[in-house]
Amino acid sequence: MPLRSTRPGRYVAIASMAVAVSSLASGAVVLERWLRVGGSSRHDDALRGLDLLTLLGLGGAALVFAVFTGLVRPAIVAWSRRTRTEGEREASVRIDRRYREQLHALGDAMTQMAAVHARSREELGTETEGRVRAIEQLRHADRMRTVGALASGLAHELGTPLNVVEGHARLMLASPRLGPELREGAQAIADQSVKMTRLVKHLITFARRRGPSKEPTDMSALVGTTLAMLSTYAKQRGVTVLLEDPGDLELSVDASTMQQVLTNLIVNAIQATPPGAAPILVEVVAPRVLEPPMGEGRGEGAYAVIRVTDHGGGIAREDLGHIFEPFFTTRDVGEGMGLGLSVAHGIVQDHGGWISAASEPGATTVIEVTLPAFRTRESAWPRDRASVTPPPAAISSAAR
Amino acid sequence: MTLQTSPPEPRWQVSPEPHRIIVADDDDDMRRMLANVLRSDGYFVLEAKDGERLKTLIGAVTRADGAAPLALVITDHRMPGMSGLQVLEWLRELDWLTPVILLTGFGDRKLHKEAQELGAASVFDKPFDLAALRERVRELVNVVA
Repeated sequence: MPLRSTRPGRYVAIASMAVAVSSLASGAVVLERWLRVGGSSRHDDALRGLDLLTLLGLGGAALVFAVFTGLVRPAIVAWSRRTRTEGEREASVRIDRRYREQLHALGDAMTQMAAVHARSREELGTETEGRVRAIEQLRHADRMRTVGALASGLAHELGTPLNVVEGHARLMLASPRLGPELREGAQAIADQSVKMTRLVKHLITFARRRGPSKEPTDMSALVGTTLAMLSTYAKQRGVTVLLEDPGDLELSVDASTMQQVLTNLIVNAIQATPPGAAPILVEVVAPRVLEPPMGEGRGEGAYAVIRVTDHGGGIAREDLGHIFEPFFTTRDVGEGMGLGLSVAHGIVQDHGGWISAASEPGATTVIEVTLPAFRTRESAWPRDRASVTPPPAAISSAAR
Repeated sequence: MTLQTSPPEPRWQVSPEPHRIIVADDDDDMRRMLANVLRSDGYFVLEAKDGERLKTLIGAVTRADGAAPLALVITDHRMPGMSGLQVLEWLRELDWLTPVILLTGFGDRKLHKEAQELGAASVFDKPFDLAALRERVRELVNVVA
């Protein structure tokens, strides 16, 4: 291994060597003189001896210094550095060779583990979501039962007294002796009783939900009739309703209750939409093979969708989860009991379908009613839910 | 719907006697109200507070010689002893002519169907629309007359 020193180290070494050589040369001259003279005087002896020792010592020290500072230390430093670097390189090369395969194997195993982890997390997520949904379903059914029992009991308790109050008010109104003030009072009592009677009847209808009597129904006609029925109302409020219907959709439904559902959804949309806003879109989507959400529907099969989209400001995020609950309403007191969507939810469920809501708060609301298609040739239905095709004939309710 | 404040019903000219109606309900307030409203409409109303008394009353009215035939029976379904539907069944063994209006607070589909099979003229679920009931009474009584 060649010795190399750093540049300043080399200068120091050369200088030291020069001092050493000159010292040795001086020492040699003094030694030669001392040997030739043969010790003339004591003083001279002492002086010569001192000179010799001094020169030899200086030369030796310089040599040692030169060797260590100029040559050896940098060389040692360089050598050790080299050794270390090469050692490391060799070691890493050896580690590389020896462990590359193991590292690769480990890496692969970790990637696989990560994939498995991600998959199980996803599965867990889906499962949790499904369970949460199922629990929600149960809670909803439970609430419906409770509210149903409550409504039924309340309605029956209130029914007779309401009739009695109205009847007596009518009797008072029938009396010719009744003064104008009392007549006004009696009239108010009668009118308010009628209003309460109507609410109680609504409650009873809600509580006494009957099983649907389903028969093949032309859904397109049903949607069309419902829209025609509501067109005057929509016009009055300055709202346009567009229908997008490929036609020819026949489903097994209870036409009267299904119309109740459609009416409810469209009236809600009309009421939410300010005059002159973007039109409400009612879409009939032909059946597709779907996997229903957990706890809903009747397993994988063909389902048709009726979708109502409005641009009436959407539903607040905190309200979205509650809109199908009985008595939930964002309207003012006296403007409805908040049973409409809850009733619709129940009716759609009785049909083996489900109803869902999505909203972009401040913008749009989309309510989807998904109903099972009863045709047996299910293979004829396309899989996957396709996006809705552009309207073949957009019908404005105002034009109907 | 407004009531006539004076009784100039043309019926009085057609029939010398007012139509006889029996109202049966175990709820006193309901029965009295209904009877009074019908009286104010010009009918002769008899009251029964349960099924047994209703049967007795129907028997008495139909047997009474010279009296106007029974024009209508309005009965609650749920009454102690004998239900409105049972009275209707019993009545149908006697005749199929007397119209019966059944009032019910529990008007499920089955009950409506049974009542119709026994020839009930109408079934009204409580709370009922009083105006509609009075209208129905007017129709039924005039058919009999």
